[in-house]
Amino acid sequence: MPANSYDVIIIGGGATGAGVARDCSLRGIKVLLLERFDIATGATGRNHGLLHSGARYAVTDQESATECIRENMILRRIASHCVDDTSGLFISLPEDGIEFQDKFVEACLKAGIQAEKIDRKQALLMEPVANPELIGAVKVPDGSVDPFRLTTANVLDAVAHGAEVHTYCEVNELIIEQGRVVGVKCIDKKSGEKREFRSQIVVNAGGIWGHLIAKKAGITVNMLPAKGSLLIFGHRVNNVVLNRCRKPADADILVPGDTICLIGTTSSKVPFEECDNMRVTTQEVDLLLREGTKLAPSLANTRILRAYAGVRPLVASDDDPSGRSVSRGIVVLDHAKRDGVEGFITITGGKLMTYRLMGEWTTDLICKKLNINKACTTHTEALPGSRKDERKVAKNIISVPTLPRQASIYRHGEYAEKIDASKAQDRSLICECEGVSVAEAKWAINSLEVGNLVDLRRRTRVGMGTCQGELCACRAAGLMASSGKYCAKRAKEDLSNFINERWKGMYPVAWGDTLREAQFSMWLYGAVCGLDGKLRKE
Amino acid sequence: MKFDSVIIGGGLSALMCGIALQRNGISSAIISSGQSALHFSSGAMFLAKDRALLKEGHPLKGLSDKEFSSFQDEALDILQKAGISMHGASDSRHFILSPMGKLIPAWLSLEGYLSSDDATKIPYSNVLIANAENFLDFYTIFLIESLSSMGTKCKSIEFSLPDIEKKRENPTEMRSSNIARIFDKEENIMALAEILKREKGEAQCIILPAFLGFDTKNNAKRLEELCGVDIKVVGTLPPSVPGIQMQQSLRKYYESLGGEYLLGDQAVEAEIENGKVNWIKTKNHTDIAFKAKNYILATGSFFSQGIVALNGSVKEPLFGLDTAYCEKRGDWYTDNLLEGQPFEEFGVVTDANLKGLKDRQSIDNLYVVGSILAGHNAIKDGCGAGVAVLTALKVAHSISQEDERE
Repeated sequence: MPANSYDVIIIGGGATGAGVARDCSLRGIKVLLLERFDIATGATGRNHGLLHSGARYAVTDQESATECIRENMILRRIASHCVDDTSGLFISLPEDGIEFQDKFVEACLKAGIQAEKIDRKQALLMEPVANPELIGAVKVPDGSVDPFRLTTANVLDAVAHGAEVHTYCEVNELIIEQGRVVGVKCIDKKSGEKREFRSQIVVNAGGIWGHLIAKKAGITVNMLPAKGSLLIFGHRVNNVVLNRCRKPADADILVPGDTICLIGTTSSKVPFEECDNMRVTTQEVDLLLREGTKLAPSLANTRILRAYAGVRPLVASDDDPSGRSVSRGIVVLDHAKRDGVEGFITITGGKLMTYRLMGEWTTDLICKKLNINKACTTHTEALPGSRKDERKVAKNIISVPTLPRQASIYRHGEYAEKIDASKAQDRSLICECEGVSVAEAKWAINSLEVGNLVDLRRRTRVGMGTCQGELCACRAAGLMASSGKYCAKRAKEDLSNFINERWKGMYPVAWGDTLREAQFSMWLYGAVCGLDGKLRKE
Repeated sequence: MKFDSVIIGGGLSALMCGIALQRNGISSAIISSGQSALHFSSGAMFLAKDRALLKEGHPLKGLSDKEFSSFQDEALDILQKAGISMHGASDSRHFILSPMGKLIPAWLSLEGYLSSDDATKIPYSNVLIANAENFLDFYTIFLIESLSSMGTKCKSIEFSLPDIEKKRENPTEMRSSNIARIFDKEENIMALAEILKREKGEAQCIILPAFLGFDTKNNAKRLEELCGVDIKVVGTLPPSVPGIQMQQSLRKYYESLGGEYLLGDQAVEAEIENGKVNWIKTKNHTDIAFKAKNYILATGSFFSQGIVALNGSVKEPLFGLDTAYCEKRGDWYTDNLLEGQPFEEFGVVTDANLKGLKDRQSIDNLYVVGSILAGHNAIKDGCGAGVAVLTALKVAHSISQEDERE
């Protein structure tokens, strides 16, 4: 095969794109993945991180529910280091009534979801922060999943099987020859270099931005951007995922994850122009708080760390020009059949939970087109990080101090063994909130495609804790510059960008302690350090 | 407990006010919860970028030209008597080098910090920057980048000492204040001097992080003598050791004048009747009230919890004083945190004499000073220390004059 030529080019480095890349690679297909920012920057990293049992959809959408529980069980096996098996409760409050419960349990069982009714006392024993006014509860196998680490693991495995991945590489043109997509033209945003790649098939996995990619081939995919806003609290208030036992509505899921918990989501249609710069409004914050405190009243007195929003790539059915009939299911579009354009596939719809299945279906179609007869194995082969018993890993790195040891195993599974903490100076913590050591940050910087501080945050949780980057941001910037990732001048700019990126999520909820923290950051970085924070365009 | 004046808050503003009162023979007590903005001082004090440009309602706007200059002189005198050597003067600007290598215009800066009279360069063409190995709150590369672009030749080294090695065993111990205590030991200063002498080469100046001793203040001078080269410090990430030292020096001076500094206590309750404060009670003295002729509120901004932001409003928690803030929470912020936010101007409103208001009525014996005051943006206007110090001295004067009249 000539240089810059592949079997498949995938556009989009979210969970879906990464899932397709991994599946293709495992089946021996030569893949190139292109992402215009960092991996997991779109909707992948902007949701609950809920390992759905499917119960939420059981009553309204049996198909989604069945898919969810199947994928749930698969992810527990193949991505154990990304999954937190918290279990989940669907609680009925007086205002919800108890009538829905029977219908709910029946629908769950029908979809294959183990749903078990428990009484009020048991429910409060299981989750003491749940609203004590609850009148009934159902236990389901919900959990939480870290989307950043999940996507990273897929990318790592794809690369291990021969895939190439270019982040910060934006596709601005599809190369079309005789009605067939044969490659892409893109720009490497790090170097400014224009590049051209060729392939037999191009996969559009651009999430909500996928409609723009399709447009480059003259194809219309009717998408409806649906914004969902969430709040992150400064403590892991609950240990069990809390849902409301009623038809899905706004702000009725509270998910614990890592050191925090999050409530979401709102749901509103937004214009496409807003997708690149989502802001959480005052009204959304107030709604999330109001509803959240119904699930766990103590949230009213819990510090809110930040607010963020993502866009679900909902797709209107092809036969419905009004766009009202929306599918939340997986949508695979073979543009050869649909639009007469060969060599082009769009994979969209779906949800984080079904990213693997989306990869499987897409790769099945690719195999059919390329005449490859190989079955999918992504549901049985564990992802890197989940291939070794965590207790064994802990034994192997027992000399590492407890906090960074436990934190790094929690985050990276057996990859924690690759973190070289043999030198005393690498054992210092750069992020005290999240237990990130110098060694872990160095490993991430050198091995996990980190280009800036925000990338580093996605790999290690630097700056994601209570202080939102107070001291660790500066330390991490210094480390990035010292390890030659970029020059000191760029490090200072990156530091300003990082602080303001954190601020963007803080200010919708900046009162109480969050405002105190912000004022401290402002004084420290603005007055003491003299950074002016002039925003740089990426 | 009876005093002439009770000052609530223990930071720069409270101490300045207390000292000025004591110097005028007025007895006072300071109720300090312990932490203050001095703990992350940059080593410099900012008066106001440009007094003429300050907005109406700015706390410094209410000072006459004469007050503006005489209070500065008084502040300098207080600092000097407290044993704090400062560089700079009210009529000339100089620049302090920040941890990021920026030259920031300052009114005063602590002696020993690297500063310059020139906004574009430092007064050395060849420096050695020395950091403790693995001290993450000070990055030499940031300084090297800036200083090189200013035309200064830089070399950097990392050093270690057995006592630093010991600290390093615990991953969270490598903080400026912990290392500073290491340099309280004479033997460690001697050992550092040996290293610096060996490494200094052609350097005219050796730059170190501001961590050269917690209880000892003259270590930079000691090193200068031992090494035969200028020794200057640059700020670290918090805590600021020189900032803590400054607070301690002011406190000692205040106490030497007979002031009562109650550390680790917090005012929690107050009674106001007929436009006057009757008493306040504190966490440690719930049964005995503090009574005074005058009360001075110097509890700081949001960070120090002199004011508290709720979802949509701003409260002064002790007296429930009138506050100024934007009604719509959406208007509290802008995108760039570092340029100084609108919320920075929120605070307690006062009458022209800096007396606090409640339901728009002045409270006769309650003054408000420092960063709790509404109407100033310490970042944008570069006026943090200016407001803290000058409002404190103005109030101390008002109280003293009143006292004389009686």
